[in-house]
Amino acid sequence: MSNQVLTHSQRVVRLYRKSLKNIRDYSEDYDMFLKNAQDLRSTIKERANETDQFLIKKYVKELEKFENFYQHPDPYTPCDAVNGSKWQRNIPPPLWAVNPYNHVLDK
Amino acid sequence: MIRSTFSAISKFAQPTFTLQASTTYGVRYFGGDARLGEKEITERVVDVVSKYDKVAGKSVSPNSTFKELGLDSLDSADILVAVEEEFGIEIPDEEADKITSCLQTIDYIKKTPTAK
Repeated sequence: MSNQVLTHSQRVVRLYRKSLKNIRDYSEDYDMFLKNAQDLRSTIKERANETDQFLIKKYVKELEKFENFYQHPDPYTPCDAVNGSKWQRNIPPPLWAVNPYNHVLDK
Repeated sequence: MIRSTFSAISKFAQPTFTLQASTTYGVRYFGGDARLGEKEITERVVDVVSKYDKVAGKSVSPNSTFKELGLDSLDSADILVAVEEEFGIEIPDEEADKITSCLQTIDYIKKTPTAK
């Protein structure tokens, strides 16, 4: 997976998702998150239809810089995600993985 | 004497423990299967998607794709972050790239045992 080359849109979407999460981690309440996320989204939407290669490169670099600068030192991680409190802690495997043919959701 | 008063009290003042069946999502037990039901996941995903401001006024069904709702890749990234918040999970980037409809979102959450 790591060897795969990302397309431009994938790269931008990932950066956007990451910076949304950074904003979420720094926001003390939901209103603050919504306001800052709206700012970020409107900036990116404005730049989405750019065709000038030079400007595109510049914008992506700016987004990267924004993402790096606003990384939270202690971000919120869900329990099962990487570095979460339950990550690799011997959780029982999901039923669909153990016995895919006799599963509650299939019935 | 004590016994008779006790029985008299216990006849009248017996607390009744009844589970409130009015909750839409039902009751989950500690020892039971912790995963969410398909119906609940579907309801909550449709709820999250229909609350997105660009989707306002359109009818969202579990089968509708994000493209049908007029959403581009950035909007779907927005929605996935909201879904992550709703269910308390983290969708890795490789999986998030593949998700382009409500049904795929529901399928992913069905396969995630820690979704709350």
